[in-house]
Amino acid sequence: MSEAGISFWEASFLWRDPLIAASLGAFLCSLAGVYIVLKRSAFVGAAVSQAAGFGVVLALLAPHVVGVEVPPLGAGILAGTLSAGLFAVSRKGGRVGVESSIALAYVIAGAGSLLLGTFLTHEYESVHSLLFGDAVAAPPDELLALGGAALGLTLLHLGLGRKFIFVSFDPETAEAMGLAVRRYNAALYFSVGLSIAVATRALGALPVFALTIIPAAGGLLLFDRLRAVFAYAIATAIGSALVGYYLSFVWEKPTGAMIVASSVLALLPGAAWRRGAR
Amino acid sequence: MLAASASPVEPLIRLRGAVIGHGRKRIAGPLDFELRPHEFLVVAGPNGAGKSTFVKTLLGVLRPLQGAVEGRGLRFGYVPQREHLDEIWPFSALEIVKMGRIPSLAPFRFFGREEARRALQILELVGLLQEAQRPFRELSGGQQQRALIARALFAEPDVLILDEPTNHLDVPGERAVHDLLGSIHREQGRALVVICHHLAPALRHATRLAVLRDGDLVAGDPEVIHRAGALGDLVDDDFVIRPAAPREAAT
Repeated sequence: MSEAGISFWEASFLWRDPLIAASLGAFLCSLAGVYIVLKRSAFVGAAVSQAAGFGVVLALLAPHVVGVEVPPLGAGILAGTLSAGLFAVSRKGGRVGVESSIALAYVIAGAGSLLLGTFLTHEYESVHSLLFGDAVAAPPDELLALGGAALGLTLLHLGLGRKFIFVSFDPETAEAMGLAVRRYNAALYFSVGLSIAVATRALGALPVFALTIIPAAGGLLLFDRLRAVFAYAIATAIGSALVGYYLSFVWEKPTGAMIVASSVLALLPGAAWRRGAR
Repeated sequence: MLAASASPVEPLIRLRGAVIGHGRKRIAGPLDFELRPHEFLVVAGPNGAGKSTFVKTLLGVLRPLQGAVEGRGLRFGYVPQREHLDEIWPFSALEIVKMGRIPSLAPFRFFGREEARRALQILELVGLLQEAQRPFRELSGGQQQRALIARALFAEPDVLILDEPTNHLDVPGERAVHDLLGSIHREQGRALVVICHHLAPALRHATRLAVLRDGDLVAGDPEVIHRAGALGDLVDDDFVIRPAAPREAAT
């Protein structure tokens, strides 16, 4: 029961859509997160979130600078997805390296958002909401974007998941055996970028970062089969979103922070198992 | 450059005046070379001579800077250097083998019983049937190498290419891998191309040797190449090629 005297279940009209949005966002994060953790590119999530935010700021500035209305949500998704595409074409052995490219994207997008955001004093609230999510509201366009992304990316991974796994695990052999590694890698990073950019709007940057890393890491600590890791990551990410949302409502705490705190529970079984195995 | 003499057998792959390299960097050539069916080719050369570039050109992964590579829709099986694989990935030995057919798997298709049975057969062939469900990362170096060979075989390749398959293996492990390759060559009749530094165990089974050095390629019968001095400092002064014993050849 909250202080206002309304129980969680009585307030279902308040939380139904945001909870669906949070669950879909958690699903997208965990699906992308398994690849991110296995590719040892943990900061992709943070960098894509920042890039998506930068896209939102640019979209809000566009009417003032060039006199053109640009939908902020679409611009954020486009910027996030494009940044992930750039990571896909960064070569591991290149002069800068993938990790540095990710860090550069994070810094440039973050600084750009802060700097250009100062010209948007009137839109401050909407910038903040679009950048860091608003878990207490889920407008129809956001639900539509989340549902569409979840359905599309599920189909993409069902159809091409094995090829994504092969080119990620052993690109040299995949290429030698005739797979178009760059093309599959680009499609994979596109799906990762889209997942994170869409989820950031629903959940906020910090929960997205947590839900991409923690459930996947928990699964890898616990299981020796990739299928089990995916199942565990998806189940615990959605569970974290639901539990975090519920606790934030009944304890009246920030939703994003409660989702992050709940997701940490996903690490415990694996950590305990590893400790016992030593 | 000593090219393969004109062969009555139609080659699987033919390089014609091929200059090989990365980007604009020329590494070797122009090379004329033929990879024939059923041959066991060992590729040797000092570090940086272009062995991997040569093999990637045969595979069609790299285009020659000049000249041409001719092949006819071949299926390749490839075994990378084991150290290039990240052990964070949670796969069983059986799952590793099944990867061999992922390139030819249509979207939304899954492996059926027949593929699973064939994958187990191949694991048995390489002596890993008992380890089928064990995590790949928990296998020994030699076992991992055999699982990777099984993966390449699962693709039913026309040509099996291995990049330094015995790196960091102990002597028995190295010999076991080469004996396995020898038996695959004899029993399955596939063409094998093996890059290696430690030549003695590989040349026990090889039918042909190619040496890349100073931008040039010398290829031919291993004994002839060795006697011509083309191996140079790649082997000790008292190096001799010992063919596989008949007992080994029969197993």
